[in-house]
Amino acid sequence: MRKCKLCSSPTGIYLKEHRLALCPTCYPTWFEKQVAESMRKFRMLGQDEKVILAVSGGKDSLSLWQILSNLGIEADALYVDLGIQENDYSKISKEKCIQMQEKLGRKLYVVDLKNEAGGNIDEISKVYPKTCSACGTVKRYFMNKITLEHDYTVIATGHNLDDEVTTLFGNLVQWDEGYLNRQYPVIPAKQSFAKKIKPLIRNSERQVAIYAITTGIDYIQQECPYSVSATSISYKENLNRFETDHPGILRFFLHNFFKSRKKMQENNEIEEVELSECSRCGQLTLAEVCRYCKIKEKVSLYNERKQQKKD
Amino acid sequence: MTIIYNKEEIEIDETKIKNVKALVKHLDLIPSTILILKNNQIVDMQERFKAEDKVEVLRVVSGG
Repeated sequence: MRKCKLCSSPTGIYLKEHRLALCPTCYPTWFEKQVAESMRKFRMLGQDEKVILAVSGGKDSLSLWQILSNLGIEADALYVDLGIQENDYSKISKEKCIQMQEKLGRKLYVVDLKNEAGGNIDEISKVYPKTCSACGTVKRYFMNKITLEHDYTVIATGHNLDDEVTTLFGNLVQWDEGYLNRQYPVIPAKQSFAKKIKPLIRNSERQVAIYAITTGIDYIQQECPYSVSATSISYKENLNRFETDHPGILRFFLHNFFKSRKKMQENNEIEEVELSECSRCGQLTLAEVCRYCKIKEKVSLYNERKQQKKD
Repeated sequence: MTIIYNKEEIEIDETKIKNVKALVKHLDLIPSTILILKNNQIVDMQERFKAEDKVEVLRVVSGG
């Protein structure tokens, strides 16, 4: 059995990408230092920033909430209740968020999607076959809305290294320069968009899971029923095959992308996109009507037709 | 020997699959997307199994 690098206790926790063995007692402290270092390196927080965290009940966001608290950063959280009925997915994930809120003694805002948008994700999926994409849109919409309404200055999300590499790979496949330009651990506030930070960006999904287990975080372990066949999962798994053969390659890939992007920003090579207010809700968008309002409209039409059929 | 994989119980022959590495190969898993827990402790690839061990394969990849 390997021995912990810090205290020499026998351990089964081994991070191949760092050639590092750590015991369950030393691991959480090491991990929290890694997150603190990422936040410092990318200058994620300034003085007197008011942080709100988007939580889903999963290991990443709940771990991040606990880490921020342990680092002395007082963060409240936002949970969007998507109303996913299968396997009580939304009910269980909400319970996990409430448990963490009670443990940390912070505020948790709960947005009920059905009340706000006229339909939950189960209903939105009937009009939007790309459900994960629509889900992302509604979550981003409410993240920004609640952040501004309650005077928070920063939105933190639990995106980890695997998430970012997967997004980067997807953006490269599509050669989407707009998204590539925006992908960075810190997205500064712009017009009425709040600043966004991703403190787990340099840590793999497996590392976050080890943190959650070694600190006893009770998170929802089942997969979102809509993401089971998502392209991102397939990308993520295949990218991890590279990681198995070449430990550290994903971290290297992302690090080099950020380095290059930073250089482009310093040389003013990144084109700024002008956004205007959505004619319906006022949130910033590239189009006349934002994507959230379009989803809401489609759901409303769907509900009307359903009602007409019933009548 | 019974192991828990994706929340389901599956039977494996511990005389043939003697350690984590063999289990990962048998189930065609990607090592960086899983954690193996033996008696609720995270274990590494070399860890050996006994019939009475409680073994769980935890998928850590999520997305959408």
